[in-house]
Amino acid sequence: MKVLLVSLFHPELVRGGAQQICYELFEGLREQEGVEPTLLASIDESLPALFKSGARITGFDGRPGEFLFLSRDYDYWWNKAGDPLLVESYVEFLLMLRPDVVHFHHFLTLGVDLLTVTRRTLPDCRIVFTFHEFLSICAADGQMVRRTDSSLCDHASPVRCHQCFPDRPPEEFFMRQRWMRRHLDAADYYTTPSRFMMRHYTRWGIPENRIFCVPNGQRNYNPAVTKPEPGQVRNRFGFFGQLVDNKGVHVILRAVQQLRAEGFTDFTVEINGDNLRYARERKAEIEGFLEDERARPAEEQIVLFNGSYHVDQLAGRMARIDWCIVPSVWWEIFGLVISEAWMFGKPVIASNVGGMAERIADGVNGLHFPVGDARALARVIRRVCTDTGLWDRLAAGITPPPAREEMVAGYRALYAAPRPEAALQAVAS
Amino acid sequence: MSDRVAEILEEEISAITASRAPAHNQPREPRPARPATQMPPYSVESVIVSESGVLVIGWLDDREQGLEAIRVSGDGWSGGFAAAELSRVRRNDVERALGAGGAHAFGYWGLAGTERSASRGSTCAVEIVMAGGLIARHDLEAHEVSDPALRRVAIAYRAGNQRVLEEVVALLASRPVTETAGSPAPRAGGERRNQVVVTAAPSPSLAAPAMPTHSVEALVGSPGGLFIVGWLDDRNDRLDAIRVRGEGWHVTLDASALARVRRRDVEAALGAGQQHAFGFWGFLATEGRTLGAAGSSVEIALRSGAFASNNAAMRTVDDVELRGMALSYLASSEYFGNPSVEAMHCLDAFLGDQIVAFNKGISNAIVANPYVRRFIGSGPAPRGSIVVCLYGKPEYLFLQNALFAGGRGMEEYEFVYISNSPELAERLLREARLARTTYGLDQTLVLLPGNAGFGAANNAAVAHCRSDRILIVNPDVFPYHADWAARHSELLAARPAQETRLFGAPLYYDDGTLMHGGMHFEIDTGLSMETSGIKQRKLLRVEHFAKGAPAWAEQFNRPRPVPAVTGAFMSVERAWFETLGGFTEDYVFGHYEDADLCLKSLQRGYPAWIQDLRFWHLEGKGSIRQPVHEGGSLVNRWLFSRSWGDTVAADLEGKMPTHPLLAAPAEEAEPPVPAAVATLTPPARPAPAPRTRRPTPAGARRA
Repeated sequence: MKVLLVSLFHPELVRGGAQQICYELFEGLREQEGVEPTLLASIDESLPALFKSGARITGFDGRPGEFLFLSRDYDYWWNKAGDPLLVESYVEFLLMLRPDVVHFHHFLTLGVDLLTVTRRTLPDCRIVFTFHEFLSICAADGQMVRRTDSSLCDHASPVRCHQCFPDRPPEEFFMRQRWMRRHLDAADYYTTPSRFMMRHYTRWGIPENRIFCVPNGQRNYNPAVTKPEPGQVRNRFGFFGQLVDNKGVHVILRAVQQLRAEGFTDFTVEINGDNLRYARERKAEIEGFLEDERARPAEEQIVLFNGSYHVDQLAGRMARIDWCIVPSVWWEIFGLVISEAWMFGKPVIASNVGGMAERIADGVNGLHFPVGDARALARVIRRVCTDTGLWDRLAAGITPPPAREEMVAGYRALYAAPRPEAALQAVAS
Repeated sequence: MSDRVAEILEEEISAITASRAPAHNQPREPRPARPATQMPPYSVESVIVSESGVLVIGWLDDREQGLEAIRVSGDGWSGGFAAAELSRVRRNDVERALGAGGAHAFGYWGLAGTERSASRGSTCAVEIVMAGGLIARHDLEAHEVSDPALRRVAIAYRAGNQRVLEEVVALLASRPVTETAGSPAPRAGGERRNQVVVTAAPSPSLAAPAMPTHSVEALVGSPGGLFIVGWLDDRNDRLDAIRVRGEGWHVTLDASALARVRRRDVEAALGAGQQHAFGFWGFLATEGRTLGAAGSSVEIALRSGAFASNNAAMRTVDDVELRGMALSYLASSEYFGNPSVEAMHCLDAFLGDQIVAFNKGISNAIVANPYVRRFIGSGPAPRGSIVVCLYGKPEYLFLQNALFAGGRGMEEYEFVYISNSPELAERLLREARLARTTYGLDQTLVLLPGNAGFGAANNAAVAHCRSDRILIVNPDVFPYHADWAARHSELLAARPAQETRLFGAPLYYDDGTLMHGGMHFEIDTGLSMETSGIKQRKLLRVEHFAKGAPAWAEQFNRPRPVPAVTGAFMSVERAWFETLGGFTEDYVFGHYEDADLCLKSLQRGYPAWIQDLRFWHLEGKGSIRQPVHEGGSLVNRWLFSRSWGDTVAADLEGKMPTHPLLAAPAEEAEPPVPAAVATLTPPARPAPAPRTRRPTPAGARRA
């Protein structure tokens, strides 16, 4: 079976969850007997050195089975391919490769219309589409966070979307939904990594019998599990991820401020991550806090900023914390960081919504706090620092996160499933 | 002469001679003695006299022969100016006319004061005495002004303010002096120069009426038109005509051809209390004759015979910009009465036909040489051609491709896109190529170098269609059902030919309510209440049946003949479309062409039908509306009302017109409610109104 994995970005060029999982799948499929995977990962014009003159699809660093889709003239509003030559090259690539399965991980920088191109070029191939967030539904970066008041959005409609984009009329969102659905209809099956996401998508119009939950699986980065010492004070916290607004770093910082004001300072928070430059409203607040923190005497510093990290550094970073905080103020569709924390036996304190609430059982293998509520988080931090048995109980409740092999098995089952009748009819017409 | 005026004039003369003319007694270079036998070109343009002074204005080509003196004589007075006492000024117009490249001051003017009134007589003689002895005599009308007016002219001349000068000169033009008593003027030699020699008693009354305040604010020409804007205080002496002059041409616009509009700024400036439309604007289609801007001027003539000449420089623009100016002005003009009614009256008199003709010329030029690119396969000729006129929004090309394609039967149709937005050409070429790759539909892209308007563009696009069935579709129309194409083809096969010769479709807003289920006509009577009386005006209005009705209100969806259908979706036999002459191209930009086409069809015995083939219509979202379009709408409504007012009044007015061809058809089976519509059905659906069987339309019997 030839499987073409089409990925938003290559994880070694641009970091992100979608590409990371796609690459995990690529590596996992390589280990499978009878499966011949190919990776086609996009790059955009922010990496001009990797563009080769006159080429539209090229290899990647001499690696077998890995190709780059050199995205250009992309239409970020309609999420549409903009260069006819690039699309024609993609058609040639498909005809050359003739995959049995084309599995899309996102469409950003590729074009949602590539699904239709794929279907038209290879009418008999199986097309699987994995949603990594809500960009199909939500034009506001796929976050489903209302721009009017930063509240979580539970469904899109032309008027609601217009409220987030006042300069665009409702009809534009009516069209956007049809545009997205028209191209997504070219897929046979859809997957999401969490169940709550499925509900959003079925409500939006994806047929229930064609969407499945395949949790994101990863290889285990912690081969040497050591048994923790019971009865210790567990007062070291860590944040892992991008420092963009919706990841909620500011909620942690405000909780620290709260606790410091209360005179509770016997704990540390280590911030691991990057891309603060992409933060918007929270950027100044985060920068200001970190600057103030650095100005304090070392013994008074609670928050340490460690900067970005590679997956190979994860073990070292995880070793310095007891708790992982996931304070996202959006739905957080899966939370790879939760899996990573669990690999290292670290209980997670997370916002009580979306993928976080779905994966973490409050009081069993982690703790919830109300999304965006810094005071509530402060109370949780104080509690876990002072309740010395709590960490042991929650750590004991952690089950291993989904493994790469499980994810591969899930997708392989989908690749082999009979094509849905509706998809067949669509092709026939 | 009063002391005050004498002082002023002395100051003027001192200032002028100090700045422009050689000093009175300054020695001059001796001119070379050169025998001359021919008087060089010259002109004496004005002699203006007041109670206390006289001014002479003209030009002379004295490059070869030097000027010796200028003598002026009228009935009862005379005077003269030595050459050194005249101010010499640069005259660009003379330089152009003579082809003179140097820096010679051809213009001259001289001003002299007098002890007693010089305002006598309607004619005067000016003699130009050359240094070689040649003398040219020029008789002309002298203009009489008050002392302040003469002073103003002098100041204008000193300041080089041609406009003020011309204004004052023109103001004087119709009021020549009339007294003629007096003795002959002394000749050069013993004559007194630079002052008027009074030889008769002063006139008892020199109070001439002044030309009213006015302004020519814009004079704009294009290869095919002329546009003028200004204002005039003609409350007491009404405007008769405006004459626009250029080198080698002139145009006289009668007052009745001009739009008179309210000008609040002028009212405020003049402190005008009464209702009077001070503003004016005019437009003329020059039928392809380009009017040169050189030497342009505007003369305003009043009924009394008074006139003012304005040295107005004509700005030159292209036809499209000029059309935009005229339409914007039409749309933004203020009136004392009902704006719609008043605008229609403006159009009636002259402007309407001019704008229509001018616009049509633009459209014809634009569609004459399109760039056509086909992205088509080698399959058979299509069964239907979807013609879409794009304007401003390129994304509708790929959105329509995406949503029209993919359903059953679409492979039998082609797209023919025509663009009224030249700036989108590159993008559209790219999108059409992409769409062909992505969706596999045949498409032809017709790129126009400008906005030809809806009618002309669609007609031009039809010429590039490869099928016998034309579907006129707006860019913001999308199929309700994925298999719309198969439904359309099946409908053509199943319904009687007379029902499908020209038909429209139910269209829905994005919220699911009805946008279009046929159109009907209403007649509005506009009233314009003015102190002078009440003006009435009948205007046609095109309405949609039950716009906004819920989708379950199926009485608007069922097949039936209707007065008209929207051009947002219109399926028509190509041969019939061509028989009707296509869309009328007289409408500006777009509006009413669809109703116009339906009325042409009805007039020939075939009403438009509604067939139950449903589409979404995101009305008004497929193009960008600009202020100039409002002016176009006014012209279009005026034109449509003029063209079809009587026809509609006869038996087409209202929601239930009595025209025999529009009688409702025999009752048919209820069309099935599509799933998408069914979801909108409320729990308690109201019972449909009882319907009566009505006779088959006459048009159907004839077919």
